Amino acid sequence: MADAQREDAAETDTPNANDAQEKTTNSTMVEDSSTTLLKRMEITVAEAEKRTGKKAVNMQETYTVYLIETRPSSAVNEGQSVAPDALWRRYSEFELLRNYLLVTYPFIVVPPLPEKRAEFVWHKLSADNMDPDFVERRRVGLETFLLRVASHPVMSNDKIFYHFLMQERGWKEVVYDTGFQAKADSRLRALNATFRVKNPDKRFMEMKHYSDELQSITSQLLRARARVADRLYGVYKVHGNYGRVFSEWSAIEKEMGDGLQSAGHHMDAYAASIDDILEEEEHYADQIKEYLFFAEALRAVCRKHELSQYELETASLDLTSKKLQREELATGIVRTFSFKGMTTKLFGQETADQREARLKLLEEQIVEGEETVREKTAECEEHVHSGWEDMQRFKEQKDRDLREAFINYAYMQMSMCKKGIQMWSNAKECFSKM
Amino acid sequence: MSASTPKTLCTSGQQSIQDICHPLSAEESVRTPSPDVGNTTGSIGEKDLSLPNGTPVDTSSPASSSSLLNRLQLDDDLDGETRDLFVTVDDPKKHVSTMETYITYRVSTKTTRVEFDLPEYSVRRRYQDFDWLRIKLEETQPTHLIPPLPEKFVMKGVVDRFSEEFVETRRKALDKFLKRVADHPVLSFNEHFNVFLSAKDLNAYKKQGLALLTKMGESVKYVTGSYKLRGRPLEFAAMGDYLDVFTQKLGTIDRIAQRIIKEQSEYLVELREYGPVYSSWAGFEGPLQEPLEGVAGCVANCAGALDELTEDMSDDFLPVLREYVLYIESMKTVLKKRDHVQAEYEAKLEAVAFRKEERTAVGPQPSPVPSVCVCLCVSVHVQKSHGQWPLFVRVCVCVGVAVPSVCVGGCVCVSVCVCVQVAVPSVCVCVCVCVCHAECPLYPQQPPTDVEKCQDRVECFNADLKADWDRWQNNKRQDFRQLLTGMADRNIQYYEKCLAAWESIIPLLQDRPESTKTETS
Repeated sequence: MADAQREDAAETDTPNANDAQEKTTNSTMVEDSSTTLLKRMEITVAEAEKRTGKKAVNMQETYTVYLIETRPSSAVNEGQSVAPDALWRRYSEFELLRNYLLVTYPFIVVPPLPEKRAEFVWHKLSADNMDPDFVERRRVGLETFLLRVASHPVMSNDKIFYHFLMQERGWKEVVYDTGFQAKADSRLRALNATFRVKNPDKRFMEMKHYSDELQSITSQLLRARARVADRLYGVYKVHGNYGRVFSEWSAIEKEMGDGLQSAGHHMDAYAASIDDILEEEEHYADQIKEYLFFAEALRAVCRKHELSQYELETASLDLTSKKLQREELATGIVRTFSFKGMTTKLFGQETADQREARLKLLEEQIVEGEETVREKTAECEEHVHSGWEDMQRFKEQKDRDLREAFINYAYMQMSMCKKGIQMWSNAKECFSKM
Repeated sequence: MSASTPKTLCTSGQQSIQDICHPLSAEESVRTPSPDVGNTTGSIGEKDLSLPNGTPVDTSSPASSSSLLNRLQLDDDLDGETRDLFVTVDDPKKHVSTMETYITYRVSTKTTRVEFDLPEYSVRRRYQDFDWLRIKLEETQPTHLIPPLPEKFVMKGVVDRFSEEFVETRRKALDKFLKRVADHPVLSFNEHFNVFLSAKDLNAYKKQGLALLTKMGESVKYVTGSYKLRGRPLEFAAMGDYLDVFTQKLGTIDRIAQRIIKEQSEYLVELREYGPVYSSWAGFEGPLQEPLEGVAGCVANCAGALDELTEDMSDDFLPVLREYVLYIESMKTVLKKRDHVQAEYEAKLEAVAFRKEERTAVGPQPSPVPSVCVCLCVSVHVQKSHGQWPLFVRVCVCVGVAVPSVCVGGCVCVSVCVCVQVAVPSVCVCVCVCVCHAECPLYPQQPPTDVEKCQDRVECFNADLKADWDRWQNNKRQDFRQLLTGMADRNIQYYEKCLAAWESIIPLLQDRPESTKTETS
């Protein structure tokens, strides 16, 4: 699937690139080089390798690194064989990059990484992170991640991302230098906090609800599919027993022997065929999995909106109350209960100087408050605007991707049926010659 | 073929069996072709849509062209002889009487044989009748392999004896049984078989028969007798070995088939939970709704196809397999009988040889004359001087035997020393005593001795058995060819159905609607 979704990064300098990028389609037609796009480079995650290194004192760890290769697209198109730039990155670095992106672009549905540990396994699949099949599927997932980021109108322009692709050493330091870590922590807290928003954007609320449903249904689907795969495996493998017994039986037969023996071989082949079939189906599972994780990213954007809106509402409330206090102070009419008011009543009026001081403080606070409200409003509006835009983009991408995933799934099933027909027809021919 | 929901059989209501068993009753004299019998109106010898041995094509089964072709290709006619006896079992009906409830089957016969009075018969028989027939055949044709019947008692408690599936499975097995008997060159001429096919009232006939040895007694007689076989001919030993291994392999295949059915059922359960997830998802998607529903529908179709496959294998494959196990048991029993007969013969041979030795030790031997057997029939009235009873024997005196076994007429069977006291001094004579009362001609055509009869029996048995074995091997080959091709066919059909289902939704999946930005999710 990653191959089908190769995308090229847009040029960094043209501001219109964003609009042009929006017309980008994750089409299966790789060769469809729309000339409206300016292509920059080709990105692949070419290989995976095992490394051992020191984690802490006297502790060795084994980990996998992935080779990222980049090449200017112009060179590729002109048929020049250019050696790609390459560097190695491990999974934790990808995670770091993603966290940075999450914090830096809270209004974007940031693509997910392939899962850290194998989940939704059925019995044959190894849950071992070192398992070659798992590593291979992870390689594909990482490539998909990079391509998605590189094709995003906003994220593709990010310097840290570019740095990630191009310069192996010192990248981590650069990332940390951005100070995103602090934001990351507060973001996490905010996402998990419960607060009541009075006027959230209805569309965002609907989107949040949708993300919950998407998350639930995809995880259900993955579990059910894993169970189906498990059972299907069992059915195919038991047929292998026919192979053995036909072989043994053919030994005592005269005329029937040959037919039985050959049929037995076909039964063996049939039993063996399920391994490849299910391995291929894992790619479909991976596509669904990606959207399971995407749902989480979508939800995060909605939550961010809620947070912004909440902060805005809080700031507005605060400003309103301060203004009210000022009014009271100025006119002497107490409309609202205040502690100061109470103490004044109890202990006597304050002096004119004191009042003056208080008024001044309030004025300052109000000015600050108004600034805050302005900021928050702007922030909220911007988030709503950009967030909604990106959610639309995401929605279209999702519809395209999932449709394609279902088509591929259907083709996989058809291929499995054709293989089954072939094998049983072969067996039947042997039987008829018995 | 059989519907997934078990249907109850139509019953003929409360009637006694006597009322029901009208083989040529009004409703059946008009030979209306039932849906199962495809060739009732054809003349005898026509092959049309039936197998050469008269099995009509079961048109109620899924009429896939490939399976039809299979049946047509079966070449059963080895001897090249024209079949003149066609038998079919169909039309099961439930009968409810005060005493019991049971099923009868219609047995239809068409024949040109002179042994039958009429060219066509239609009678109703129940399982008991088939069982009786089989016992009679075993008794009267002990040297032949009698095909097996489906099991009498159903061990698995949950099986409904009157369910459509069970009755249909049984009907097929009974049909096969009669066809095998009808195909047999010896068994088909058996008198009991004839009566079974033709008699209006079988019960009356049954009562006429001599007191039967129970099946149990007979098997005890043949199987548990202890004997030592000197030399079982190699070919029969090989048969026994073959059957042992074959039984094993069949058992294994049965277990595998059952396991596959079990795994498929569990797979089906998961599929039935998997499909609806797509439907649920479709519920809250916009443009993806149709593709999702499409996938859900596809999975459901595949599940249905799988259900059919599993059911077919259960109904058609397993019973035939099990029936062959019974067949093998029958064959083993016949082999044992043959062994027993041979053992008897060998025992008698031994006894004779032993007595011959005794004879040489006792008295004057008749001078051996090689290759000449002279038979002298003398009637002797012997009276024991001391005894009370007069003994009248006819004795054949054999003189001069060189090699007993090549002598025509079998000269040496039993040597008996008879001391005779008459007017003359007692004389010890070695005589051959024949128990038979036939006239003994001067020429060496003596009445068969016990040993000779045994030898005959062994040779007859061997010949019959060999013929039956060859026939059985041939039928086995065809039966398994048909069975296994049928299995392959069903699997192919299953995959074809699934393939068609997935192919049909490709256009649906690829058909992209116009995407608009104002679309709500």
